[in-house]
Amino acid sequence: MVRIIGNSPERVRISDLGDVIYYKQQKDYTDQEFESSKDLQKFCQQGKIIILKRFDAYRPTASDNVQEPKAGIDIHDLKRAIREVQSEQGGKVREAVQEALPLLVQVVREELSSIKTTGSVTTETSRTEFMDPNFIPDISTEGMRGNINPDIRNTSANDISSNLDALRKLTDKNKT
Amino acid sequence: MAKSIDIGTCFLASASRDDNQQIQIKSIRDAFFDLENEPQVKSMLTMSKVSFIEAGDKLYIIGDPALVMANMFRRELRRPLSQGIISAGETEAEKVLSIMIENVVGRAKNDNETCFFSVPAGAIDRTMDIIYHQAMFSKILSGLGYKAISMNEAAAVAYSNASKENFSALVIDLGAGMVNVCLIYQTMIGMTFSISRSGDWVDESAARVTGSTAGRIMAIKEKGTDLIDISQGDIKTLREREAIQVYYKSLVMYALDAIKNEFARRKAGFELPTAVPIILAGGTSLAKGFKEFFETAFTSVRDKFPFAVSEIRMATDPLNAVAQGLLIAAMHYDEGSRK
Repeated sequence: MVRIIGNSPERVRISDLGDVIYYKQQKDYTDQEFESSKDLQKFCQQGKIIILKRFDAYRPTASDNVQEPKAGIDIHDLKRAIREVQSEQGGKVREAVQEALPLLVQVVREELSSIKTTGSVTTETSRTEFMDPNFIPDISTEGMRGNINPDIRNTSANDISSNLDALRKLTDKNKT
Repeated sequence: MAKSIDIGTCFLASASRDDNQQIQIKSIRDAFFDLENEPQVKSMLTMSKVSFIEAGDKLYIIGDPALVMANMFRRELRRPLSQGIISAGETEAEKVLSIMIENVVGRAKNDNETCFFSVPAGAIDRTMDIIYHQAMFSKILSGLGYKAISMNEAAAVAYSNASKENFSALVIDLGAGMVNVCLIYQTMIGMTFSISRSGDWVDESAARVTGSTAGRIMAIKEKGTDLIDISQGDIKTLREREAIQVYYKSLVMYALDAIKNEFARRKAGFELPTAVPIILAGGTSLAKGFKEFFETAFTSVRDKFPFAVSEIRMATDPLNAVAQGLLIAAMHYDEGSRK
């Protein structure tokens, strides 16, 4: 499993998984989903989403004091079901459902976690592993004066330009 | 205009394209040494153009001269970063680092100017909090007016050195604090992790067994220890060089084992359709003969290596490969944002 967090103030649309990630929203994807999703990979590269951790999905053992799920609820089944309903909607209704979907899933996930339902729910659902830079105390450098001369070296831009060009071509190829 | 900064345990290096369309690399050793602030000392430092920061009754000598002073006084060099990440609560070091970053990358000239900065991957052999590290540098760079975006440092090396393989490579970035490994295929990261020993570990281990200091070992190492022919050099430091070679070998084998184990652990994730090169980068890879030394070690594990390797090569500019790769990513990001 891969746990990611939204790192863009604008919502990030993961088209190839039919999913949306909001700023600071944490989500778990299976390794297969993550590896196969070009959008997830792309937005990771762009820093719009950040990988918090990779971990194994929680598998209950006999010693775990958990309740068996009454109807075998799995969070992915639930997401799939909501998407099916959503696809039947049109226009603004569809947009509204789509907007609410990620948050709804998160609420349901927390609820499932709190009643210790088994399934693919992970063991660590409540740990916040993202730190907003605003939470970092200000670093006051008042009264400090820098007299710093870094080494400066100029190099030809050719290598950078040719690499950038290759990157553009690869991006275009992947788009088509 | 996009910029980048590689925040390493040993060096801070920024890259940007100047008005003449040249790439400008600014770098400084990520180290300092504190002295009492006395007028004569300050005047001497100013005349000899030594970088320093004045803070009340203290002077912090910055960069390479700090290493010289530490060796002269037989005291350990102070480093704002340890094993690849900033130590939470080291407020004095954070302030020094903040001023150093401002001097290396400068202030943003335009609103929302993009600056990509490097972050290490999570370590497989110790508990490591990169969350605070990432947030701290995001805050410092945002404070300078940038839109700060983080990127895995080993992945950045592929951006600057693997275009002919369509950005597919196994990058081993041997920094001072840690070794960062990234298996990347056409810019998609298949596997990335770090191990918490690298150049500093070599220095500290060699210092321990020879009764020296890590700073002195670092100086001997950087003067040009030949890993293939250790007898080359001053006879007075032969014992130290032998120790450096022993720990280099241990480091390389440890890294290769880690790659094999991690690949096996994540085997369900991916399969490479073609052979990829191994690209070596980072300051610790600059030791004389390192590539040949690595190739010899790799030969012993090649049969058991989990994927085909086309060649082993050094990054074009091992010390600045991360900063250059980050700059390429930043420029590409800017182009995408404009569309």
